[in-house]
Amino acid sequence: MKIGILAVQGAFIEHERMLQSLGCDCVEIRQKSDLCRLDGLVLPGGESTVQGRLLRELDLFEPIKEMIQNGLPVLATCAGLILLAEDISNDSDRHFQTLPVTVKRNAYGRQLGSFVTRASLGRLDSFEMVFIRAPYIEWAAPDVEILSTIDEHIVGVKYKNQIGLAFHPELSCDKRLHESFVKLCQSMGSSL
Amino acid sequence: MNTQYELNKGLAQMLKGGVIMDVTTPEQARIAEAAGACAVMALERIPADIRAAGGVSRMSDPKMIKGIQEAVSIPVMAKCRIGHFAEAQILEAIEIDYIDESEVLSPADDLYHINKRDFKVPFVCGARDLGEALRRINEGASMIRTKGEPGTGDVVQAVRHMRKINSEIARVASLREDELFEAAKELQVPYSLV
Repeated sequence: MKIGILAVQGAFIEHERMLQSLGCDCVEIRQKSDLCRLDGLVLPGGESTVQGRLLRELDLFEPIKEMIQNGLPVLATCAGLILLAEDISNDSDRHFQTLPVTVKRNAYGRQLGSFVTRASLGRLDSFEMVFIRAPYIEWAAPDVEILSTIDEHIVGVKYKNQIGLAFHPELSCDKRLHESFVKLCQSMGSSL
Repeated sequence: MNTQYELNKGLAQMLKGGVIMDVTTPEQARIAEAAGACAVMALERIPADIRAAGGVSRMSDPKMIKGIQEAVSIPVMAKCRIGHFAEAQILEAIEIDYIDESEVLSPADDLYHINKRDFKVPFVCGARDLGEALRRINEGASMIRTKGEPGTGDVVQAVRHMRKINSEIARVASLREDELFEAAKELQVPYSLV
């Protein structure tokens, strides 16, 4: 199992450690040539403005978008969710737009609004969720599966090959979400 | 430690691999954001000017910082004087994302740093060696930085101190448990941190 982790900026090493502990090979994606024969892709947390800009400057944007559209399993957390979102309610930039949801950036305010909570995430109960200057999902298309809702705001979704989370599963010790992502990668089958 | 501290370290993790740019106006902050900065440091004057002007340099005007907070969507940081907890309280009240307890400004206290555990907002502090870094962490700092000669562009000190801290970490990591008690004494830090 070979998982690519976008490593242009942000908390990619945390995802890498978690996936390696589950027996995956990880590749840090920094240039186009890193993008071969992946079974899955992680878009980590960080600043979406920075990542969006670097993706374009490094000519990674179009190839990654194409791979996602062709069904490559993607796990996107926080800034990664913003990169996938079709629409962003409080920003003029748009990125991959492969996930039919509307997100709100920094929806919980500044760092003093950051928090940790526990809630169920799809079939995973009592999952620790770390929100850091996090977005939430204001609207999701009817065919998007909602994995988790906190205070009436959607914070986790699944749509075909894409999992989008507003929080950081890589910052807690719970590996269940990464395990189900690895299973998704296995079920989607052959390398793209 | 507590949840807030974990969240504050988490924000530092999100900033990794990014550039934090010094800005003095909302307009500069917007340029920095568009150019790919992962955060901005709101300053009344950039360090080169602070050095050139001499005299006492203080925390920036909160009104100016708020203008910058409204201008950009990325985290906004600001500096306070070493040991000046009242400046830090003001920065916390305007919901700054990170406070830099900075040696670039004139120190307000030549013995003690701010008790950063009293605050909810995260702090970043400078360090020249592992002992300093751990003492700042013990006081509640969420992030540690090294620093070149302010305002000169000379980064050799920052590199030297970073190399020193990394080699000290490698040394401490290789020690047996009974040797750690002595290492904690040498570094003048609590045993629990080593």
